[in-house]
Amino acid sequence: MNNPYGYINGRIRMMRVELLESRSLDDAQNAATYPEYLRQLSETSIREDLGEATAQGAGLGQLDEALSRNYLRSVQKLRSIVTGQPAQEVEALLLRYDLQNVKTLVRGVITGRSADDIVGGMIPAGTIPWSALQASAQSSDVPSLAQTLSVAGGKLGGVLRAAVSGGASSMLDLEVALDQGYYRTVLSGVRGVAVRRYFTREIDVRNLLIARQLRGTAATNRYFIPGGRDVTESDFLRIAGGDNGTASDLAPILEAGDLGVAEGLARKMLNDSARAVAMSDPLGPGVALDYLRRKEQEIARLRLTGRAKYYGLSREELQKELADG
Amino acid sequence: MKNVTTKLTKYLPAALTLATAAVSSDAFAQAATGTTTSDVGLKAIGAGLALGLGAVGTGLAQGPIGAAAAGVTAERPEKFGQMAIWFFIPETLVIFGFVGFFLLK
Repeated sequence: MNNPYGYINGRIRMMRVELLESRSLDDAQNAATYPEYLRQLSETSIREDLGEATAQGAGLGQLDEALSRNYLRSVQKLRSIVTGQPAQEVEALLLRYDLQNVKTLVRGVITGRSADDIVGGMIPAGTIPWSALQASAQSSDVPSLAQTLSVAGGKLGGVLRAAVSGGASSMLDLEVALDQGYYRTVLSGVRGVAVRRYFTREIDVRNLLIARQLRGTAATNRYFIPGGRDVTESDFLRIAGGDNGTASDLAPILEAGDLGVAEGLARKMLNDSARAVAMSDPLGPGVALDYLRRKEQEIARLRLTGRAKYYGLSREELQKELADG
Repeated sequence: MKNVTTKLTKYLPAALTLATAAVSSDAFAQAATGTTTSDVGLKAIGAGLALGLGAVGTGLAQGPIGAAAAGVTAERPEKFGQMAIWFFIPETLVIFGFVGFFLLK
């Protein structure tokens, strides 16, 4: 009779309170120099993880490590307080980071980036062990990357290997195959109605972004991700063919000037949806979903601000970066 | 449906016990005052239900509130006092039940 999310969400809400207030983020953005930015950070809850980032001569590498440590600690704490069915649902939510990390690996391996660069772009969260991700970054080609990841036990490693065996070789082919596998796994792992509704919206948004990318090429339905609510397969093909007409409230994504702006709008819409889910799903995984997104944004903003202060960007340039990021 | 059956299995014996207790105590009172058996019996059942259902309602409300309060207190022990207030608010139901119980007695 008792819903385990009562206890879990009580704890997550308190963890959400510990996220940096917008005032602290504004103070960090208004810092005149990088050392002042670090000083502002040291007055927040992030200070426990700053470690060597504040040492003399420390640079962005140490700051990134510190922020990653803080992020990882939050995710580990979240995982430690859930058990049973909620644990399975939270694991499904954490697959999002696996998806991002595997995409980063695929992009890095295809474009020939160094292992250190690839590791620097990954998020230390998700269900794939960090050591397995680091080992995968050493791969010389996509088939060996798929092999390493599938052995490491991540669900998306198996998806990537299946896609590679099926002949997918381009970045878009692989990314869409990963998206399809990810959403299939998430929708089968999450039971809450509100959270499922959020994911169907995310699928719609992803389909619109893919359709935009496909414009000017021979559109095919193999890039369509099933499971959405408002964007059907025929809508997808129509939009990929150049039609902008859609009745849903997702139209601004299609009307945006370029893909970067469209992605920014999509992110904002999904953030709003996640917040709505957290409000409407007090005894479900929606609160965890919202917390993870907020934490991700907090870390991303701090990273961007740190870079801006380190390289001496103006406030206007930083604002633009934050709006785009 | 299964949930309803489980709830009934859990709470019905408690409600019946309370109602029976009320009826039997009133049976003694009836002998002294000389009122009719049916009036006294119905009042006693009403009193038992008022108290018993109030207690069941309190329990149902305090379950999820207690779980959430435990979660909040685990993260922030300083919130214990505030959480205790939220936890005790459903106790008003059983207090109203008591008031009904004594009015009907």
